Amino acid sequence: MATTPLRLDPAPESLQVDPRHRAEFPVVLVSMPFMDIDWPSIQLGLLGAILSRHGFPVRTVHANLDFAARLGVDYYRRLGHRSARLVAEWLFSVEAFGADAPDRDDRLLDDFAAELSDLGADWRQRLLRTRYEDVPAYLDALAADQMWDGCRAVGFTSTFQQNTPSFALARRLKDRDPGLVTIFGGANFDGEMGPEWVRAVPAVDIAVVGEADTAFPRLLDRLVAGARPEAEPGVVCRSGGTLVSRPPAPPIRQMDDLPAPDYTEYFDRAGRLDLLPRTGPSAVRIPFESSRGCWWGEKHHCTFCGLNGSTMTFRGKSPQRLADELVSQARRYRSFRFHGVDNIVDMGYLKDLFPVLAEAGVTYEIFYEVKANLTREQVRTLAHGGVTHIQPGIESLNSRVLRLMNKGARAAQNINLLRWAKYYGVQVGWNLLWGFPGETERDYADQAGLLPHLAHLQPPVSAGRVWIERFSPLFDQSPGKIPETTYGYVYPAAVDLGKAAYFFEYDLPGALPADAYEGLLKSFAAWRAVSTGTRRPELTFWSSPGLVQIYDTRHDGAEGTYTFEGPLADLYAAASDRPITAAAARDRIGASLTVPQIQEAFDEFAQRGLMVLDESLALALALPAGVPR
Amino acid sequence: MSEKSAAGNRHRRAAVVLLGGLAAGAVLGTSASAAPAASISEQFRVAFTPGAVQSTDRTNGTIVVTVT
Repeated sequence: MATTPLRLDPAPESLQVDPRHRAEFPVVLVSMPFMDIDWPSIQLGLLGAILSRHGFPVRTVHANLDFAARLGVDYYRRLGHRSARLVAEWLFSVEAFGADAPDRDDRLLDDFAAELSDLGADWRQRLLRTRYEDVPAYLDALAADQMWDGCRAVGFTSTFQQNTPSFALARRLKDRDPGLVTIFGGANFDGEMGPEWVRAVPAVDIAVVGEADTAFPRLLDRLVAGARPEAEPGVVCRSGGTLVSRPPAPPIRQMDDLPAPDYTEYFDRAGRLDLLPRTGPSAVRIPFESSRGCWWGEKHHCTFCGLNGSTMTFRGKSPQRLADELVSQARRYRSFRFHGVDNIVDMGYLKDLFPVLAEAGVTYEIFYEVKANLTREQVRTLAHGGVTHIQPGIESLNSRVLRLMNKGARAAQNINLLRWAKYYGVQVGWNLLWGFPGETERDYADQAGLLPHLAHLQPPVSAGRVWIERFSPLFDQSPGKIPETTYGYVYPAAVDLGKAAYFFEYDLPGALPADAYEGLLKSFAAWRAVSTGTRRPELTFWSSPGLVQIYDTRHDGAEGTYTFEGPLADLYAAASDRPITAAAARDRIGASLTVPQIQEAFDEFAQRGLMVLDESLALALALPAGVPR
Repeated sequence: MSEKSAAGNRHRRAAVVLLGGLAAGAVLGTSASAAPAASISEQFRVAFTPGAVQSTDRTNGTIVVTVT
């Protein structure tokens, strides 16, 4: 079959289908391993609600829960979090591809032994047992379930390491009922990946590329009516030995029209499998989607980001619509914890939503991804509105490197976010990245020297070289575009990995030697150790006009208090809210110091780790004492 | 207005001025206190008092530094 799909013209209007015929077309939607088990799948919840609204009998199946229950949740989680090494996918490769599966000799275990040894002392035997015993038994039990009786179509959502588990189940279901139509979608099927999977994997009948909210029910109507599915925008399938597709329809704009996701089956299933947290359903985070795309990426695409492949355009729900959804979902699932799946929070919510939630006195705990250059006031607004966890795209504490990444934030702004998040009790999940063309060893030596001064703030979760992801500007710059090595252990030779892979090997020109990052790695490890130790580093300041005292316990054995009076005290206070230039500081404190004197004072503060200097900006590192205000 | 209420009003007006100055975010003390005569580097040299706070000495929010 040709590897390039035949592209068809835009489709006509959707078919008119008798609702009674829809009611006779049962559909099952599946989320396979290694999707997170700690919260429901928004893909299943939303698409299930959309299909139900259209009149299709639909059921969702969080089959990932069954596998986690079989393996044990800790082991399942450790397997699943290795996003860029396809170890979890390798476990299902034999069941997915049979005789065509590569690596029947299990060479992956030898070739990547150093990276796998953290799975426990008996990791090798355990992985082999999982691959050759647990996986087949799991698939057999799943495929034998009565839920497939009468099912006309099964939809698989696939992100990160869900491909081969989904292919493996689809293969069994097709053996059981060759007339069953298998439909795939999700991030792994975006761009040219979807068409390649349809071409290369016989168990994949149809792929929906791009957003499925409109395309999926319209596709099902075509199947109900016996019409050609390939006539639908975004659909890829085989037709008469040829791969055919239509470009996806434009992304939806009116997100308020989407239904609230239905997660009933997740809670039922997790409860039956005894996987719900001991504190009950209310401990489960309820996923919600308030926007799609990225308003920053529309203007400046962060160079490493491969999210939003074909749908960068930012659109969001109205504040009222989102508030209504949070209220109804809280009641429905008796949970006050929410997980925003957005790439970036809509800044309009800081004015029109979070203050309303604060005023209403709701006690939500919300996770959101945010841009890193938030001010103190913005962090306070988020905290008061119930945002307790954020994932800001910090990525670096060096402004030069941040410019190389196109992040639109300065190092001092990133550090300021960490300060005010700590102050207002907001947890921050962030990473340190390196490997950007144009970076220097000095960039990382400077960061290594800075980190010990930040011991009182929340450290990053990880530090490492940037991954090369499809759809990112760095991918465009990659000369070789070599699929990440472990793909070759998972997928048959017939799969064109150049079209199907999402992760690629790092081959960017001008890379620094590995030892350029050693200092930063050591500082990162030390910061993490301190943050989890019994000693709690502090850098807190008390202030009154003309007097500042800074209590410093960041460095074990060197604790003490700094006392500054007069203009130096006023200067420190002036630089404590946000990064400030020497000229702006002079305007704030009056003419008691000249700009050169202020610069001298900034340098002295910085030498003691009481301030950070970021090119022309200075920022006090201490947090104010007292009750957060 | 009686003499007693007039005195009370003057007190309240003085309090408003002080609070108003603080509310405006002005960094008070730049005019209220004289700048120390020592150089900037000297001020930094003498700024630090070593020692850790003893938790049992923390009462009413005061800090007691024990020199070790």
